[in-house]
Amino acid sequence: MINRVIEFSLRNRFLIVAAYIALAVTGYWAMMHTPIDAIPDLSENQVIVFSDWPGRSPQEVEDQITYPLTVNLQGLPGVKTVRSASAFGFSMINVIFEDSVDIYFARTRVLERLSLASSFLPAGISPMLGPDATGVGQVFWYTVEGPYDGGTLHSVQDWFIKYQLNSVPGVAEVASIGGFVRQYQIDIDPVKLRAYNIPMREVFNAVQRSNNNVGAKVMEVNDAEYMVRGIGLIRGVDDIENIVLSAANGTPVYVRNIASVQLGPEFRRGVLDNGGKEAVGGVVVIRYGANPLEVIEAVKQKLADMQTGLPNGVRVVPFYDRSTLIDHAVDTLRHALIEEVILVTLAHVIFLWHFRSILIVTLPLPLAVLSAFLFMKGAGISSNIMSLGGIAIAIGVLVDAGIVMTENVIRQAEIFSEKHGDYREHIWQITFDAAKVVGRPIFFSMMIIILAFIPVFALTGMEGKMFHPLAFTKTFAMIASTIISVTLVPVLCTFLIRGKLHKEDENPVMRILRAIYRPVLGWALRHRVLTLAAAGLLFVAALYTATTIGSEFMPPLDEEIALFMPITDPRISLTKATEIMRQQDRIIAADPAVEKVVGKIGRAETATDPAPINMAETMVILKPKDSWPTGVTKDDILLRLDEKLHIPGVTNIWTQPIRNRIDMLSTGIRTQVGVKVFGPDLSRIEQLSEQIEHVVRTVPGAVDLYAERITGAPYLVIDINRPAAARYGVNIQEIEDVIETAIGGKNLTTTIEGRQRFPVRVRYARDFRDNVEDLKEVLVAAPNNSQIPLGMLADIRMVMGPSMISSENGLLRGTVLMNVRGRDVGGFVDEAKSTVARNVKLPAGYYIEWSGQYENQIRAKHRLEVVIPVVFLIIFLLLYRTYNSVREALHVILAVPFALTGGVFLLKLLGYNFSVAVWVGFIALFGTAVQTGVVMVIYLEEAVARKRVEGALTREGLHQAVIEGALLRLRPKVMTVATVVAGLLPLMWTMRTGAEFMKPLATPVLGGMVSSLLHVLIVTPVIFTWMREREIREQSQDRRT
Amino acid sequence: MNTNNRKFLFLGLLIGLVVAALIGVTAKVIDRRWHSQAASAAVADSPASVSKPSDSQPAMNSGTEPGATVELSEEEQKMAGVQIIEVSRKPLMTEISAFGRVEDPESRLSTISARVAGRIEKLYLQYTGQNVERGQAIAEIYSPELLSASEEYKLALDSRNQLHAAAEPDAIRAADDLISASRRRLELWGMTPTQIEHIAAGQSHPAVTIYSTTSGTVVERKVTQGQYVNAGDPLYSVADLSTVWVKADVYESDLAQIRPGQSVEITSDALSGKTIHGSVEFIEPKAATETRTVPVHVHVANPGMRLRPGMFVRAVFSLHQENALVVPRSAVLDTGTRKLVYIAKADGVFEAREIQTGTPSNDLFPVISGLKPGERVVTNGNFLIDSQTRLSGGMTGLFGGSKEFGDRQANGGGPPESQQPSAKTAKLTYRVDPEPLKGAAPAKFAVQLMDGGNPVTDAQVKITLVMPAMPSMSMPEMRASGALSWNGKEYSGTVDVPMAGPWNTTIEAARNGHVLASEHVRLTAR
Repeated sequence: MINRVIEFSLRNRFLIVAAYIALAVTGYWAMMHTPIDAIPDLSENQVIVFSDWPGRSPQEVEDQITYPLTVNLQGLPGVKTVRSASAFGFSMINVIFEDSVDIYFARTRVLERLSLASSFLPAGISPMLGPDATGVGQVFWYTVEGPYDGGTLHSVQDWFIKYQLNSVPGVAEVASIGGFVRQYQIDIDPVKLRAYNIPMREVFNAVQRSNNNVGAKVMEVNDAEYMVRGIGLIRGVDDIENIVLSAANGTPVYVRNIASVQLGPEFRRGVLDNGGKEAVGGVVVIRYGANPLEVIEAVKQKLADMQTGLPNGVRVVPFYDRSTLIDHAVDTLRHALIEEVILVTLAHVIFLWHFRSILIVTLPLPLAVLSAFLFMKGAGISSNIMSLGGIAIAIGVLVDAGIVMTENVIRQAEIFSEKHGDYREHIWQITFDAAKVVGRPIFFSMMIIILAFIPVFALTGMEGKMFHPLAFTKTFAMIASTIISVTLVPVLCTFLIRGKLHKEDENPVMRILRAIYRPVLGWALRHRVLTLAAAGLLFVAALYTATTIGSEFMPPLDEEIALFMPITDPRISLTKATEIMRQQDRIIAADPAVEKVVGKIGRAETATDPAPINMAETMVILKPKDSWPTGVTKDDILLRLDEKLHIPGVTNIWTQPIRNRIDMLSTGIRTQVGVKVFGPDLSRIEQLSEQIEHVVRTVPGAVDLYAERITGAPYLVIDINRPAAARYGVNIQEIEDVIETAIGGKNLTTTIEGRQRFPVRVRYARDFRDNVEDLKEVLVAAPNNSQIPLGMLADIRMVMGPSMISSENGLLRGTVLMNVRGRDVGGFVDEAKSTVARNVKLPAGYYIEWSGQYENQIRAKHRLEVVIPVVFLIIFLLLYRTYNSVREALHVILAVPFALTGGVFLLKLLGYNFSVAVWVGFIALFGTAVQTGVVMVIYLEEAVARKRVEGALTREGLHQAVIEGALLRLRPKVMTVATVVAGLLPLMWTMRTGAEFMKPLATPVLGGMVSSLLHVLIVTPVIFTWMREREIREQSQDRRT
Repeated sequence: MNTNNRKFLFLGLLIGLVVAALIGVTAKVIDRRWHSQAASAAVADSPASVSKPSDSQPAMNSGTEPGATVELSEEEQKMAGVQIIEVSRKPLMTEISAFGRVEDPESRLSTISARVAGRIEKLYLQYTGQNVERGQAIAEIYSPELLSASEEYKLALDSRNQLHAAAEPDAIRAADDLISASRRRLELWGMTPTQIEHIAAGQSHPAVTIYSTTSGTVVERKVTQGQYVNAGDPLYSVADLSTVWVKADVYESDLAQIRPGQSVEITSDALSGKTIHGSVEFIEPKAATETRTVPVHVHVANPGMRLRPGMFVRAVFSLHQENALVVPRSAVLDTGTRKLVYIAKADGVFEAREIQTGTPSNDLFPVISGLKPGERVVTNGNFLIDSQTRLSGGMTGLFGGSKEFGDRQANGGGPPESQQPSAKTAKLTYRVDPEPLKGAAPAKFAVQLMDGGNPVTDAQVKITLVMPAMPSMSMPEMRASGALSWNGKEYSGTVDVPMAGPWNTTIEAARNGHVLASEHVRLTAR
């Protein structure tokens, strides 16, 4: 079939060329329009349902919002699980869908349920969906700077910049952070309230009823219609001050008589800090599937357009711009790709010494890459470090098929011209014959490489999301290059193999290599046992070395910007947290290597940011690398900063923005094993968790045990004393209203001032609610017009309570986290399960569930257990199909362990740890190693067959044939390895952004290619000879009998 | 396919399976290795730090256990903004604030009444609020009764005069009696001697002028001009407002702290920021049922008449407590179940102490027990110190942490070693290889222990590495430990560093459970 394809291509050369030109054009278009991001989006396919309930404690939020919503959101199609968290003032529910579910489908389903569920919620609560974006979508952060106070800047951000940026296509949300929302504040003096005998509720009513505009249809005057408007909106502090509360004996009592009114900052849960100074800023979140680069470009354009409309002196200054990172990463890969192409070409020139044929080898390369882009566009894979990396590591292999084809054509042409003189007339026929010989092996060996990479698709979870794009692009580029090698390459050969051909012997490089190779191979053939033993030893040594290599989760991508994340006690106040952040930011800003530092405490006003107050996120933007003193690395700078940033009670963590976003939004258990304890009562759950922790501690292998503490936030509980309230005739609602408004403050209405809107808040003046003693004197109006202090109606006390309540599928959840060291996880979990079952008695309504990363691990293991043997079997069958011989197939497969050898050694040498990336590298190597063996055996077979034609095969004849065949194979083999190595070297030596991600991937391939070269050149012929000798012996025995 | 080939096929399958198994196993090994690191993903790649370790302390979820100590370097104290104050005795002022009204002074109210019935001819005091002096004419009453009485008097006088000498003594006496009786009547009606003289002189006037019997402010005018009044009818109420009464409504719950004589500060908007001092005069015996309060009387002088009856004021009762042991409010951390202060000891060691306190005053807590005068408490930065005790060592409290330490304490392990600094006599030096540490790799430790110039060879040296849990990142606490053995030269041994990141490392040398030396360092593994 392959031969027919080759023949068809050769007979329709122009058709083929035209087809590929078309492919190149569409591929180029696809490349230009594929969304570009730095790394694949690793977040889960989830819809966030977010409900604000300002000022409520986690417990209230859980009971009244989260729980009713969660139970209603269950049972949607495609939902994996519903996780939720109730924190101070907001509820966040993560509805996690299967990865295959379309995000917009999921969102509509959730909305559908929400409309029903909303009826179970307290009045005034409207749950909303998070933006149709993921946490990784926070691509652009900026500060709004100018000579104004935080309130003004926040207003500019909130009412101008935000909405304008949100109109940019691809922007899902623009969230504000820092500064403060302006608010009209009515600070009540309770003494005066009593003096005028006005209950709080009258103040609310009065204020609420004093802010409205009405319409009264029209009035006809002189045949014209006049629209009638009644104007009563609050337009300033004066208007509020003059709201009448009551008129005793005709004397009006105004708001200003009992309260002071001013424009002030609203209570806030987020602070932004720029180098130690209060700042206002925003974050642009891009839509799911949008092209970050394009969106950021458009946002910047919009900002430039808007600049003239901003108040005098106000500037928008970006401090985090993903496009820089993307540009750098893409740049790195572009450079690597260019260098790779140059090197590959160079290798080609060195070995073939035929310049025209360079095009034959290099043309398929961009074509394969472009068709990979075409595929990415079609499959909706964004181009990023991983997907581009898939192409980068495949470059060497991509040209391989073409090289083998070209080399064979050139060789055949050489032979032809030796025998018949000028070959040019017959190039078509020569190509056809040569292509037929290698066509099938090429096709099958490429199939092997492709198939061998399939286990990567078995990766699940985060690793899966990380490496699937790479696997997809690599696989598709390979498929494209396979097709090209049997269609376009022969066609190009007929066009481009012209002129004088240089015999292999005339090539100095080849001469030297052959001079070395011949005696070495001869020696090896004579000392077969020694050779095989040495190879075996190397393999064993590699296995041992592998055990000494450390391991890590994933090689980090240097995001250029560092994220400093000090974590403090959950009890900390916003004031204190801000103070600490300021202090640290000032220190960081003073460092000479730091360009800018912007810190954030608490949440930006978006559902994609659930950060608690006790966690600051400070972006440290370093000066460009070239301005650093030589030899200084990013780690050095961060370490130096860290030394200066020690504050007792604060745990400093250094991470990176994208990485951190992914971590923050992944709600699952990130340790190896986690025990989830479900039940209806938090304190009981906590107790059970501790029990489980205690019991599991005795199971061998358990390390890092940690029962999540649920309580830890201080609460001031105002516990209403019902008998007391009853005695004074005060109802509970009255008391609660006072607690809510007098102590907490309540937004009663919102002013409408042009485009801007500000809330109007009522609260006791600060002095009357500042400490517990004061709270006891907050007045509650009794029906007989007397006012009773709160202390007489309720017990006020401090207790510890939950700082955040997690639940899953409608039940409260506590977790015990642990890792397992020194034993098999599955066995550990089984033992731990039975230990817990024996020793922990669960009350009715409670149950536990074992979960954690090990589930992924077990799932991946199960998949790999099936996938790897199947892949092996398929490869084996393919090989068998190629050679029609089991033995041949077998010893080609033997190339795999020897390839591993080199990979392991190089890994050790360069000091890389085992990681998923390394493992993926090994899988890639695996196919390439088999493929290199394939062609060698073909040549050996060919040589032996030629010998056989000459007469009966003797031992000497066999040796001769093997050396001959091997020598013939030397050039293509060395070329293949040289191109693969050349295709990877640029990744190894570059120091640019993103390269650190690719290096661990390339290392095993690089090392493995070298060792597999040795294997194929020396060990394979030896085994081949050994097997043929047996054959000869058996044949001679047969003959004798 | 011949037999031979079939043999090879089997062999091939076998080898294939072996290779597959091999790769599978390798996959699993590697798989496991990196998975065990999955948890550390967040920090594994970057240098991070954890504050300086100290001896681990057990803690309950309700907060730090008293007795917990933490050691901070001077630099760290500066970063935390630690401020220290000595506990001392100070007069303590407790305050109760109450809402009050200015009222007329009951003891200084008087009424000017008509002593004679009649019609009010003229009113000299026109309006309420007018000031009146004693002896000031306030009204003129046209009184027929008075007129007749005057006439009578006049008549009596005349008849007496007519009697003259010719009179019988009885008649004279009767006439004199009549005169004095009618004169007394006039006097009782409030006629002054002068007026009576006038009547006697024949200038009988139908109106009688009423003079004020008191000075003060008219608080009520009860009559109008032209009105007929009966004798004894009140014309004006006059109050002397040079002293006013403030009735402060004190809630039942506060009443126990109020006693007569206590000084009270009165503030009111009318005083424009001035404070008037008074004292508790009297506590009413009955609570007002409507307001659920007990009025407490405070009599205050009212210069310039700034306080006017009916005005609302704020009364602050201050309760002096002589020389109580006090700590600033900011020094006390309230966990709900207990109140903690941090005591600064020598060498930057801070210790948590539970105290009992009384009712706080403005910014001072009276200490009932738990502190001695002269002890130094942390007034600023104590929150961070408290957090630090939770972070340190066991990272107990909120962040969970190891029970190991808690158990040691519970089993009577006694206070942590750091509280017995005198026990540490030896000098400890250490080396670690590689430097810096490498994550997920073993680290070699070598320790030398010198006691007064001589190496100690029989100690047990233990290394403990702790990385605190980070709940926000769903990361548990991690620890690793190892014992070093004497190799003739120094103590050496290896500890497996589980992952990259900051490690609070404690090197402790002990002999028979007695700590000779210990060293706390933070080592960052790359």
